[in-house]
This record gives sequence, C-alpha cells and structure tokens, in this order.
Amino acid sequence: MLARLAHGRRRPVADEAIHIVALWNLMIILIPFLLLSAVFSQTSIVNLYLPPPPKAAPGVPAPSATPKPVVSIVHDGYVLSDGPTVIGAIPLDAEGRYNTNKLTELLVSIKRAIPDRSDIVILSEDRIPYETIVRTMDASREAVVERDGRLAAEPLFPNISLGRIGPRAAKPVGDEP
Amino acid sequence: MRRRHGERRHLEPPRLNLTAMVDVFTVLLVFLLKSYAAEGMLTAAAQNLELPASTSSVPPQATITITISEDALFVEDERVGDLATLVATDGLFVPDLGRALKARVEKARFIAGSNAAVSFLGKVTILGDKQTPFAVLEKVMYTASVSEFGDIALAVYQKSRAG
Repeated sequence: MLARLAHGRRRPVADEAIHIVALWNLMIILIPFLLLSAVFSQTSIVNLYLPPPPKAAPGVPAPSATPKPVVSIVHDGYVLSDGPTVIGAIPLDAEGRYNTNKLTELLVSIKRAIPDRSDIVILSEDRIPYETIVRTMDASREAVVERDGRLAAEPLFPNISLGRIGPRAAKPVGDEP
Repeated sequence: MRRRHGERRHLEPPRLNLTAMVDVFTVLLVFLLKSYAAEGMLTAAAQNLELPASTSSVPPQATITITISEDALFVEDERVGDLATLVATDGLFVPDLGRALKARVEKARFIAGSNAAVSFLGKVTILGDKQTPFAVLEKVMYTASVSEFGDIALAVYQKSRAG
C-alpha cells in the first residue's frame, strides 16, 4: 500500500533534466584554461642572513665568542672549517656530486658542540653553480632526523651568509654598506 | 508476488547522465581557481630559467625581483643587461643593475613619502637559473646590497624532504 503510494507520486514530469548547458559551457572553457595556467610546482624562498655590523651598539651583548662554522665549496668537495682551523674535508661522492649527507652529519656533530650558534658562512668558488650552493644551504639549514618513527627536520644553522673563496677578500655579502 | 515497480513498460530514449561528471568538474574548477589565486606572487619572468630545488618551505613575499636567466638580467620585467656584459664587468658592482635598482628605491621612497602605510623595506628576491655560477650571483647580490636592498631572499622550487 505504502509502496504503491510512493510509486504513484513519481509521476513522469515532462522534462526532468536540469538545465546545465550554461554551466557546462563555462566549465569547458574554464577548466582547460586553468589547467594550462596552473603552476604545480610551488615556489618558496631561502632567506639570506645578514651578519650584524661588527661595531655593536653599546648595551648590545657582543656576539658569542665561539667561532662560527664555515663551509667552503671548492671544485672537489667541501672543506669545513671553524674560523682558522680546518675541521674536515668531504670529497665528492662516487658519482661526482657534492656529498650533502656527509656534510649534514658533520654539521650535526658541530651543532652538538655549539648549540647556541645558528649562523654559518658558506664560501664558494667562482664557478660553483647556484644549484650546488642551494643544496649546500639545505644541508646546512636543517637535518632530517627520525623521531618516533617519523621524519622530522631539526634546525642546524638556519642563518646562512654567502661569501666567496678567491683572490678578492672573502667576506659575507651582508657586510657591505 | 507483485511485479517489480522499476520495470519499464516502454523504452524511453536514453539520456546521458552527466551529474557525476559535473560534480567532478565543479570540484576541479574550485580547486584550480583557488590555486590560481594563490600563486602569482613569484612568476618566472624569463624563458630558459629553471630555479634550483630546495627543501625550504618559507613562502615567497611580494618584493622586487631580480631575475638571472641563462643569458640576461631582469629587474621585475625590465631587462637590464646581458649576462655576458655582467661577467665581463670588472669589480663586483654592476652599473646597469645598480641604476635600475636605484630607480626602484626612489620610486618606493616617493610612495612611502606620501603614504604612511607603505614603507621601503629593502627586500629583494633573486630568481636565478640553477646553472648560474657563483661569480654572477655574487655580483648581483653585492649590487643589490649596495643599492639599499639589504634583505635578500633566493627563490627556489619547493621539493619534499624525501626527494
């Protein structure tokens, strides 16, 4: 009885279809357009760190006495130094690429010794491509560690200054007037 | 046993059921429109420019951009010189770039002078091709910092940490 009533209510209407032609046209135009212009690669930025001027204003505590780590990118690998003393050299890996994993490992141990420092200088030779520098910055900025079974980033030296090795005085870019 | 209700007496012309597809398209449309609005802060102005990839996830800011493509140098969309001339320049200062940046500084100062809500922060984003040698990058960064753009950011493609 109830079923028949329900059935009876569904009397055929003349035209049941929704009029979506206009919407359809809009989508046909918009979707290819948006798909074409969509940028699937996300851009982000890496901030460069400007070291504070050497002559600090009175009242401002002097920068910490521990020398900051310096990574030099030379043509055949990394040289890691600590002010004047060389800590270690990391040659290119078997495929001729810069060994960023090894660099991160070494920097983790350095960070353990000077946990309060967060600045680092990356010195490059003239011919070093930009990509290598950015990869080195990535390796110096944070280490990926496994914590509770999940990968997490631990900051190493996020304040990165760039400089050069070469005939001209090697000084961080931020030191300019 | 009564006959089933759904059984048809006569055949109607078949109608294409587009509802599911319209649903998918609507979702896709909203998603694409959203991503269309979100990007646009940084657009690679030049052809033959491939940014390096980095694990950094700092979102880009709307600043003045300096683009170093494979063969030319741009400030915003204005071409300020060839890379070959830049490489040949003696010293770290690049006069053409310096002039272009100076003009931007003056413009920004002028706007800041008449509108208190705007101030000149000296921020610049460098979009460099990943093959750019450091010597070129250094000249550009030096010129920028001398031209009062002290806060330099490098634009990169974001990649996942695992990659």
